[in-house]
Amino acid sequence: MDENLLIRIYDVGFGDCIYARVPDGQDHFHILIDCGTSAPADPILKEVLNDVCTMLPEIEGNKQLDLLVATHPHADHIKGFNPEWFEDVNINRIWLSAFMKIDHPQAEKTLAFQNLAHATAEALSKRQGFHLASGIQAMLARSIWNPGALQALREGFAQTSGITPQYPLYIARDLADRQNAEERALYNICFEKSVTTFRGFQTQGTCLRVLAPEWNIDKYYLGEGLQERFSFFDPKMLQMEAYKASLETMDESSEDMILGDASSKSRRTPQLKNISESDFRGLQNRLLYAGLAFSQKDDDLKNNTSAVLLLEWGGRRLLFTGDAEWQGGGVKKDRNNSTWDVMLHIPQVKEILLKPLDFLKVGHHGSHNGTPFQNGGQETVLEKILFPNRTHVVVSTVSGKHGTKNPVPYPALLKELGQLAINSRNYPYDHDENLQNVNQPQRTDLEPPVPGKAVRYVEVQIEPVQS
Amino acid sequence: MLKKWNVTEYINLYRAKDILNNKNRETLGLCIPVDVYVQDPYVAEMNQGAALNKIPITREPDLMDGPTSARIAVVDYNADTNHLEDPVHWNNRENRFELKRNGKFVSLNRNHKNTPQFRQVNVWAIIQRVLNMYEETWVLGRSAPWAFEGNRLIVVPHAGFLPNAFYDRRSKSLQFYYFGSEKRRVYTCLSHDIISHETGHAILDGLRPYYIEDSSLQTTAFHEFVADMTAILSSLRNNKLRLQMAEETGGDLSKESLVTAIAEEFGEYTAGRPYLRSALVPHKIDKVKDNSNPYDWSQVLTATMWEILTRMVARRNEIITLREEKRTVKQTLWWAVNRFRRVAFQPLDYLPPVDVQFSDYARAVLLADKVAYASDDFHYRALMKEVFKDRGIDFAEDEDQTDSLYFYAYDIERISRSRTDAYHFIHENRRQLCIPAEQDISIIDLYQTNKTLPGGGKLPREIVLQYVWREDVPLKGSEFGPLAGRFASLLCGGTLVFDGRGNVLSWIRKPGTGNQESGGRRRRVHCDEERQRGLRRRTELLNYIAARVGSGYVGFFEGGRPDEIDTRSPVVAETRADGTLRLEVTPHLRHWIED
Repeated sequence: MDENLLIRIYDVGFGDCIYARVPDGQDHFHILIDCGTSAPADPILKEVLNDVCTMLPEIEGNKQLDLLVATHPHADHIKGFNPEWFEDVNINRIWLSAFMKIDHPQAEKTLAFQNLAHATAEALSKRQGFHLASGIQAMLARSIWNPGALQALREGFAQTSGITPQYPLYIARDLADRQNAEERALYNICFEKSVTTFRGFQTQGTCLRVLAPEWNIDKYYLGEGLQERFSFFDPKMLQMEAYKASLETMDESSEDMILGDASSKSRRTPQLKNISESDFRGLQNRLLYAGLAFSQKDDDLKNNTSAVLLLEWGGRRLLFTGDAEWQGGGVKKDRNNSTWDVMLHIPQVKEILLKPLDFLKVGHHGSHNGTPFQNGGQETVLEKILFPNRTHVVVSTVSGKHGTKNPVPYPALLKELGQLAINSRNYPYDHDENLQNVNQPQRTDLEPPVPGKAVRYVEVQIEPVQS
Repeated sequence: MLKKWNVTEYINLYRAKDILNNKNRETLGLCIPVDVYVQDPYVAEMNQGAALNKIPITREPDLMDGPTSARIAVVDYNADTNHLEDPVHWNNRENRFELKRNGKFVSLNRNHKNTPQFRQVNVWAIIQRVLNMYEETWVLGRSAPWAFEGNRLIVVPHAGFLPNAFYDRRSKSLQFYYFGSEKRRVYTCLSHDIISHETGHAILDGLRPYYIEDSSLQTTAFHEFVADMTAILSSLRNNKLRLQMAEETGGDLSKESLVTAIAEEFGEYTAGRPYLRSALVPHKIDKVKDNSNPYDWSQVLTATMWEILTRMVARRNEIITLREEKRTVKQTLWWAVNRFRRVAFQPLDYLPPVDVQFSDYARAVLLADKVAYASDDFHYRALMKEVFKDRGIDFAEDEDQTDSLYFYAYDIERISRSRTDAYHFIHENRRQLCIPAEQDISIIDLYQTNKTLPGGGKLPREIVLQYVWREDVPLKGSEFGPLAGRFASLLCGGTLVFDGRGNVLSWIRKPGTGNQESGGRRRRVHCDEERQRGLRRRTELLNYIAARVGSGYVGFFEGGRPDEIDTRSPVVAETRADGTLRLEVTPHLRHWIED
């Protein structure tokens, strides 16, 4: 058995798919964190999953995956969870961010907000003659329902794999604190150092800690200010009953209750007598700007409820951050707070977090608001967790596709990370001229192809600390 | 009274409305008394004196449900709910608005202030008043055009749920949103300041349609200035508010009042302060010169103008006291209302068609005053210059250089006949006007004014001609980011104002960089200087675009598709079919939302 921990961060275009093989006793523990892309899922994700499967052990003709994690429900993180591609895979555990729990009582308002944003995004993306800028298109594509993948994650995978106890497990930093002893035992989790910690490994020192999100989604990530401003209890505004009824079965008619189709005359829109039909159509299209505001805010909310995981193995520490965002202004009760700010706000989490790392999967594809850098916040973070002689840093991203104001990946962040990573690279060509001839962390989009493989990835192997 | 007029009689009567005072109009049935919020519901709650007020709106002959008048159509469509609210009903016979109650139409009154129909009428009435304020003979003296195709501005009082309101030329509309919980719902369509501010944008866009292009920080800031000034002067025009102001300030306009505070309810709710912006800030250009926020810049110009107006009132009071005459505070404020509108808005006719700077406006203010009051007995113009200078708005008084113009013989009647006739005049005098030979010129507006003084004295008839051309400016270098390799436009052109006899009253222009005659008898020496100014303008434009790109303000349309949008960027760059870029401020990010 290989004694090194192995991580593959696949090049899926703009998206995340991370496989980790953790040496565990006489065996390995296999983890898949996210599987999505902004590009069409087939063939890219299908081939990636085929490659992942080559790493999994087989029992009675079925591949065995010990843990599947979906950090948050953006398409670029979950689009690949196609039930057909997992037919031959037995999944033993499924973890989803607490935000993905459809009846989560403390995410009710955030979910209502999400549903409005989904409806808006669907309506906008289907509208004829309504062209959107590429950044907005990408955002809407991320926000739109991924019904197949969500269904598989919430129900299908658990059923087909026949796993017990009941999965998925909706994870949060304080989940274990809310569970009784029996529930904790069933899921092999405990509330250790004030964070939910998975101890289902054979090796005693190995654990997987959940550092985010908080269970109370509405309180931390929506914020009282946003709740107030977007008036979640106004039935006319949100048509809450329609949303609740259509959570999983959003169809044309329920969309139409919220947003009419400007390209054809809505059946509920009476005849206007004081402006022409063409003027009214033009007006309707422009008015949909307002709807986009919801989609933009929803985009942030989904990122900020990302599951953040810390894997401790062989004296090593590996951090996986999903699309957690960072604002740097601390936590305020009246605003929608970012994941990093919330983690740094909770003393016990901060204590666990701010120690040297051996591996960092950079969050949010290297965006300007995905990693606390340049000492821009209330807390100096990177220099406490990253060390040039120790920390592997990897970014899953695509250059030149997203953002003009704050391009993704963000050059200043990558330069700083490049100074702090043991595996920094000076790539011969970068789409962004600000990143030419500079050290930066390893990137999925710029690494050379893997010989003999149809897929491309960054592979990191980490040895255990010699005792 | 009203019932005695048949349609023909009424239309004839309506044509005479401008020479009748309010009392006569009311007596003749030419007005509709309409209840509106004096400021907004928040101010009304705090201050009963400034709650609802009945204002007279001129009754147009073909008023319709909506309300829908000749220039404004209210369409109560909610994009969030796809709901079209019943329009308020206009009862022509009874001269009143009505709404349906239990299947019957009843007269709309202040008891219905919580209904959508009340809000429809509220927003319509205030826009009508603002439009009327601009069109009066002692302000513009003509009808104010809209910038879009067509002549009816669409007004959407409940467009959806957002803390915002904006003017959007592309949909020909003013969109007013609402926000807050049900218990504390804020309707922007009930805020006098927000409504008049947005209307100010729409009116300025009609008067100077090229200002919507983000050609410089001061141009974008100027749009905000005019919008804020519209809100302030429209407030001051309200009798009830003016009386309250008289009580609160004793006629000293430098004191804080409901008039100088802009958007109280919105500011209280979104920014946590008693107003969103104020005309009483002491800011000077120095304070904002390193700041790229157009609202901060606009506030400097607003405060400058308010200081001018305040000091004019103070000087007038001093002189009246010296003359041992008497004026009540109410009389003083009434004088101020009329004088202020003229001082602030009449200069709009003297502005360049493109790329306006604060100094252009300062010069125009002085020129407009000179045209109206040649003698300047109270030395107001010296006062104006002093305030402009003190606030850091510098300008060269002699830059007009109309004396250096030697046009070929022309007939002003012919020039004013049509835009093409005006073009022939401009073309014949290209060298005088320093217009490069290769540039095609657009005559973007040609109009005549019919202005009076508030007392009724006639001002000279003016013929105003605006011409424009664009010069390609290549964007080279990494500082232009994704715009590198494309062409921006240096907007060039001028506004010529003639009096009725053909004398040039003003020539304000934005020169280009094109080469003029290099020698010989046809060379115009003053054009060398003009070209140098053009080159400086081009450098400034390049620096400005680079700064905009550098600060991440610019979003993009793709492939020149006009319907594409980017909702997050304050400025969008659109590529035209000819490969040039247009930089425009995104309407819904224009203001009210504060990051």
